[in-house]
Amino acid sequence: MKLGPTLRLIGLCNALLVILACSDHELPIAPNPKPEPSRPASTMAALGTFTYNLAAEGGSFDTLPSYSAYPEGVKVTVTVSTRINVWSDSRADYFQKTVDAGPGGVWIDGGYQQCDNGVSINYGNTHFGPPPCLMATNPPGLLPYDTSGVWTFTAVVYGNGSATRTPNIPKYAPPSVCDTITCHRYTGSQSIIVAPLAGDLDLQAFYALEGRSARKALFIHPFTNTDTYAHQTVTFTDSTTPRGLPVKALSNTWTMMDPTAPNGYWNHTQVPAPCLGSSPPLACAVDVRETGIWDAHARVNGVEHEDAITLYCSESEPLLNNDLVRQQMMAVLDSSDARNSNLLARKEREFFIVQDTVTPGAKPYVMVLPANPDADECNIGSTPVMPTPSAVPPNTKILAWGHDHPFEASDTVTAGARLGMCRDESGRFNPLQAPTMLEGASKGDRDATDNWNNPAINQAANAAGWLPMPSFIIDYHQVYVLRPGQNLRDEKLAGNKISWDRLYPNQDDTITLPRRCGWPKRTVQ
Amino acid sequence: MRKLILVTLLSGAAWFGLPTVTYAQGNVGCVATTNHSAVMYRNGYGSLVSHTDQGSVKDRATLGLPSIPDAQVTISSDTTVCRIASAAYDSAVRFPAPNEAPLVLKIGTTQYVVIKGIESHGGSFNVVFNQAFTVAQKTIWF
Repeated sequence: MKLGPTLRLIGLCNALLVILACSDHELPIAPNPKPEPSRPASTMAALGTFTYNLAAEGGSFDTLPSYSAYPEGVKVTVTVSTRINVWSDSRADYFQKTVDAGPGGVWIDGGYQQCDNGVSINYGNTHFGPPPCLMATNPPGLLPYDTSGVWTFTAVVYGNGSATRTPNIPKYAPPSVCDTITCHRYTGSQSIIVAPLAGDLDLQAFYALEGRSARKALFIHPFTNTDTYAHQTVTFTDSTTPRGLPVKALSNTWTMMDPTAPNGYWNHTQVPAPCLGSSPPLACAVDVRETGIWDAHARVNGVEHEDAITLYCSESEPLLNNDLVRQQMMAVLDSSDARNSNLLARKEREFFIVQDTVTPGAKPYVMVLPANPDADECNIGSTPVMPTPSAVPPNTKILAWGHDHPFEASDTVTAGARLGMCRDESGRFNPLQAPTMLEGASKGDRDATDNWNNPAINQAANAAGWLPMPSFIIDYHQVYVLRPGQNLRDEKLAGNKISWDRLYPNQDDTITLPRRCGWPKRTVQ
Repeated sequence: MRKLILVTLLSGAAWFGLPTVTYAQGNVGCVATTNHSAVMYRNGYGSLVSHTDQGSVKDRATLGLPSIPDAQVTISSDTTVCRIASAAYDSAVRFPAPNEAPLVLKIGTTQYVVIKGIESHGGSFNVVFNQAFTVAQKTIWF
C-alpha cells in the first residue's frame, strides 16, 4: 500500500509516539544526496601566453618570460609574425631595395654573406634563429630578404628569455655614401608570441606480473599467501599528455584501503622512501601488498597537476572489474543515506549497470535511479523500474540491475542482530516490530530477478537480446550477485557473495589475505 | 495436539512484555503448497537451516533456528494451524489482516515461520513462533 507523504508522516509520528515525542518539524523522509566520489579532474592547462613587439631597428631587445622557476624546462611555441619595412636609398652600399621583410630580415651579400635585421630568440644558453632570409623563388633565383610572414618553432626552453634583432645593414668602410645620407630606414615591428603548451599529468601503472599498463585504475591478482601474490610490483610513472612535455614529480602518496589490516608476515605496501619525499623520481616501483590509491602531484610544463590510480583486486564477477562500477555502486549507498543514524531517512535505491553501445571502448557505469517516494530502509518502493530499453538513453545497453540495502546485515554485527525500520502491509512504520534484517536477498529481491529475466514479462529486454542479466545487491560490506536460474539464498554462496570492504570476507575463503582486497573509495577532493 | 495449541494460544502469554492484541480471524485457510512464492520461501528457509557455510550458521544463531535437513521445512496446509498462525501473526506484527491466508512453514518439530504479504515487492515480516504459537521468537525482514 502506498501512502501520501502527509499520511505517511502522521503514521510515522503515531508509530514513534511510544518511544519519542514527535516534533513539529517534518521528519526527514528523503535522503540527503551526497556528492558522488570523483577522481581528480583530468584537465589540460598551460602557463600564460605572452605577446611582445620587437622594433624594426637592428639591435632591438625584448625580455621574454622567464622560466627559471622550472628547472625541468617549459615547452613553448614561439611565433614571430608580421613584417618590418626596410627602406633603402638607391645609393646605399650593400642593399638598395625597399622591402617588407619577414622575421629573417634581409640578406647582405659581398663580404658579409649574412642576414641582418632578423629576429633571434634566446633562452638560457640556447639560441633560436634568426631564420633564413635568402628566399628561393620560382623560377629558381634568390630574393635577398625574408618574404615569409611567420616564423614559428616549438622547443623546450630553460631559464631567462630574450628576443633580439640582429644589426642594421652595414655600410662600407669609410668613406661611405652612407656617412652623408640616410641609406636605410627601419619601420614597424614584429609580434613575438611565447605560448607554453597545454598539458596534463598522465599517471601510469605498470603491472610487472602481467606486463601491462593502466591508467586511473589497475586490477591485479588478489593478494594470497604465496610468494607470487602476497606482494606484487607496480611501477607508477608520471607521464604527460601530450607526450614529451617537461615534467617534475612533486609528491606522491599511497593511501592503503585498510590501514588496520593485519600486518602478518607480509606487512603492508612498501613504498621506497624517495618516492614519498619532496623531490621524488618520475618512476616509482612499489611493492604493493594491499589495495589502495596512488596519488601523484607533478608539474607538467610549469603547471601543477594531480592524477591518481586506484588499485583493486580483481573479483570473480567480471562486471565488477570496472572502476566506475565499483565507485558508483559504493556511492549508491551514500545516495541512500545508508549511514544515517535515523533509520527512517534511509531509502533503498535502484540502479542499472549500463554501457554505451556505439562508442568504442566505452566502459560500463552505474546509472542510479531516483528514490521512490515510498522507498525505505527495507524496500525499493512500490514502483521499481524494470530494466528495459525504454528506461535508459538510446544506444545504451543495460548489463545488469541492482539496488542497495542500506543497513548492517545481522551476521556482520558483532554486537548482535541489527534491526530495521520497515513498513508493514498497511504502509506503517512500526518501531515495536523492528525486524531483524537478514543479509542478502529477500524473497522479493529474488522474485524481481526472476521476473525481469522472464522473456514473457520483460519482453522488450528479451527482444533487445539483453536477457539473461544478473542483479546485484550492495550493502554495508557485501555485494551479492543474484544470477538467473539460481535460488533464494544462493546469493550467499561463494562466488556470489563478495566482501567489497573485506571486513567480512566470505568465511569459506581461506586463501585471500585478510582485508587486503577491499575496494578503495575515492573521495571528493 | 491442535487443541493444546489453541488452549495455549488463548491462555495468552504477553508477547514482548506488551499487552496482547488479538484480532478476530476469518476462515482464511492456508497459502497453497504449490504457490510459487510459498515454494520460494520454503526453499529459502530450507537453505537457511541446512547449509553449512558460516554465513548460514551465523544466520541460524541470530534467528534461533535449528540446524536440520532441508526437507524438514514444510508448507503447512492444515487450516486449523493456519488460522491460529494467522491470529498469532496479526498480533505479533500488530496489524490485522484476518482475511489473508498466511504462509505457515513448519521448521522441523520445534518452530513455525509465519508470513503474510508474500507477494510484496521487497520483503515481508516473517515471524518465528514456537510450536504452540504462544511466543513470537523473532521478527525477520525476508
